[in-house]
Amino acid sequence: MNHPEVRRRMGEYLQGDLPLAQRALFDAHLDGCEACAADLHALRETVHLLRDLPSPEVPPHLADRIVARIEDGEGRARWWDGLAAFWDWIDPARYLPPLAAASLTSAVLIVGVRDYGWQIPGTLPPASVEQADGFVDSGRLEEAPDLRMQPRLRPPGRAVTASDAAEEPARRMRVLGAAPAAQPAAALESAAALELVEEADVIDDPHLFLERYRALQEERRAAWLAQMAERAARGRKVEAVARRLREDAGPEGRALAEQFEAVAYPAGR
Amino acid sequence: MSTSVGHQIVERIPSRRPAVDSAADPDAELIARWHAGDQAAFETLVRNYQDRVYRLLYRMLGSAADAEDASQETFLNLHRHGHRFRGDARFSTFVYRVAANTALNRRRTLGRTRARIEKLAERQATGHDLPEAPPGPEQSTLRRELQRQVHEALATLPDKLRLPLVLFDIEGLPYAEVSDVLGLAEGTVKSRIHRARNALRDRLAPELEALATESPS
Repeated sequence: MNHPEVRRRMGEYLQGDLPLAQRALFDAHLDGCEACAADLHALRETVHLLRDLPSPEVPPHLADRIVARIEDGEGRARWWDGLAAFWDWIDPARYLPPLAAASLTSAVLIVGVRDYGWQIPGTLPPASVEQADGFVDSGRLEEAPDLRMQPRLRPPGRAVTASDAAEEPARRMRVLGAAPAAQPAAALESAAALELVEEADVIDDPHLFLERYRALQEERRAAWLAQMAERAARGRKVEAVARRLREDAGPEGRALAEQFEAVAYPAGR
Repeated sequence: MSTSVGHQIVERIPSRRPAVDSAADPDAELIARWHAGDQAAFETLVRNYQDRVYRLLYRMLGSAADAEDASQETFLNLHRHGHRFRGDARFSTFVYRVAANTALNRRRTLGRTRARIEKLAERQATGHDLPEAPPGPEQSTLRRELQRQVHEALATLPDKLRLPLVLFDIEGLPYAEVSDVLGLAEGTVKSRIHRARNALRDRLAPELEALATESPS
């Protein structure tokens, strides 16, 4: 096992997730490499420090204050919660033809912005509905970009399904305030398609890249690679992605790096 | 830095809780009573969960005052929308989701992250806003200082790394539950936790080195 692989797999090692054979190789490397051993030691210390952080003292009257506010009526659903729920229920993009949905969505957004500004509750449909529903707010595109693809109305704990994936782009467009583009469901039939939005992770992690690629149906792989190549090119990461695939992801990674480069440099650069 | 390669180094850090079992939700009875209109049942849920919610929000927002406000908001939201909880996951997962959502929302509202971090550092430097649990006698001054640094370094991590890290390493949720709370694949959760730990380690490098020098193992 070489340095990059040892460093990459330290998390699994600490967690005891490394298969036995890999663990032996890992240990063997550690025995002869002071730098990696020190690295691991520092990582372990970091985890211990985190876990040893003293618990903050909960304010003594916290529960009483909450109960008092509920008794004062603050715990009742507000009128805009009802509107948001209604918007969610009619879900225009799902039940109306895409064009009509686009018009309706745009009209409501335009009127909402013109007359009331963005902040009026009920005119910011999916984000506030999801927040109300207990899901991570998909509207926070800037601060938590990777949390934005929570499928709407997905009950807690239910796995992402193909229909969630198919629905997502239109919903994302609505969150962004644009008209939803018509999305043929077949083009997004695989749940793996949903993971496309994790581009930053995928591009930066050769193993994840390989994993995603493998999970795709054969006929969709070329399109996916093209999409990744385009994203990598935007971030000037094509070379880095190919290099990581070659160095860290084994023979399959090396083969995939070739394909990736072929797609990324169609002119044979 | 010279570090000994001993057995301590290869010791594992295990998960602190068993995997999620949504079938047997210990809160099922309380939830049923609350849904039937029993407000006392909701109050019990508040008292049962206030610690966990407050801890998460404290680590996410970095200050006691913000954590308290956000905790109240979390439970009010829970009360407003709890009827939508359908029991597909454990109630605790649902509570964590609402709390995580509240934290993200609050950070967005407050914006000005940099100013807040500076303010936090200033308050920490004067001894305010730190958890009040008394340190054990064996705890060195350096270690306490380190905890202060860890708390501060945590505040500088991006939300997408901090949330899974706090849920896993501080709250002790298993991967499966973190994945449920955040709606992310388990592999992604693991990868983010690892990246978050690495980022923290890098930010704490000088302090960790000092610690290693103080107590060579």
